[in-house]
Amino acid sequence: MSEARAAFTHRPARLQQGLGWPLRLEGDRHNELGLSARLLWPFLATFGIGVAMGTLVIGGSLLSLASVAVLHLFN
Amino acid sequence: MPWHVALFHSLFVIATIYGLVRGGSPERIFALMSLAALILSIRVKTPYPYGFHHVEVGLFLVDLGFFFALYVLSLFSLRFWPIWMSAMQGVTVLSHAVEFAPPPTNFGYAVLEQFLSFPMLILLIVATRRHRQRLARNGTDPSWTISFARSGPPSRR
Repeated sequence: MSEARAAFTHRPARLQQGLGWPLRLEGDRHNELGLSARLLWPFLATFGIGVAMGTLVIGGSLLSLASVAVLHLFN
Repeated sequence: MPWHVALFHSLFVIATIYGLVRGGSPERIFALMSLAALILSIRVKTPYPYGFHHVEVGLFLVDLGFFFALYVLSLFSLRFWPIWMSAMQGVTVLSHAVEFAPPPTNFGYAVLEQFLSFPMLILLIVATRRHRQRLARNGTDPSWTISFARSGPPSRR
């Protein structure tokens, strides 16, 4: 087997090291997060939750404005 | 007492007692930390209904301290929920910046600062339940990424 093919077909026991996520491995095992991922994920997730909440608030405001405009058209 | 405060306190009592009695060590530590944060928050917060008209500095410091405590917990515990907990607490810490955004709104500030406490308590209940399920299935549920137990020869018993 060529080196490139071996590298391509290699399946590591621990998937997605570093920024890993609890993917299911063989049997009942899950991969674990490395220290760098544990250091980083809370901030990434803070950003994600903040963006999601901001999107909901802005989207809700725009929907509210749109509904007022539509009601105004028909009244 | 407003209904949402009564609802929060009821949920807090249920989640904390469940976490303390049935949880593993990360769940128990979180329950104790949230109890300390709640007591400190009540002490430093401007009383209802006069609060949130300016930046609540004491509350901000309590939130920040709770965030760093959760961050350390997420670094050393073998669970994924402390990462989400610290993220929600991170949003709570950032919510204090809302008061600087024009126009300052005490209602939005109050909602953003307190809203995420509810999903955090629900997450504690789910985490404790999942811990019990793993214990029942595997017989063990390791809690920490590092062990403080001193290594030595196995005891002959």
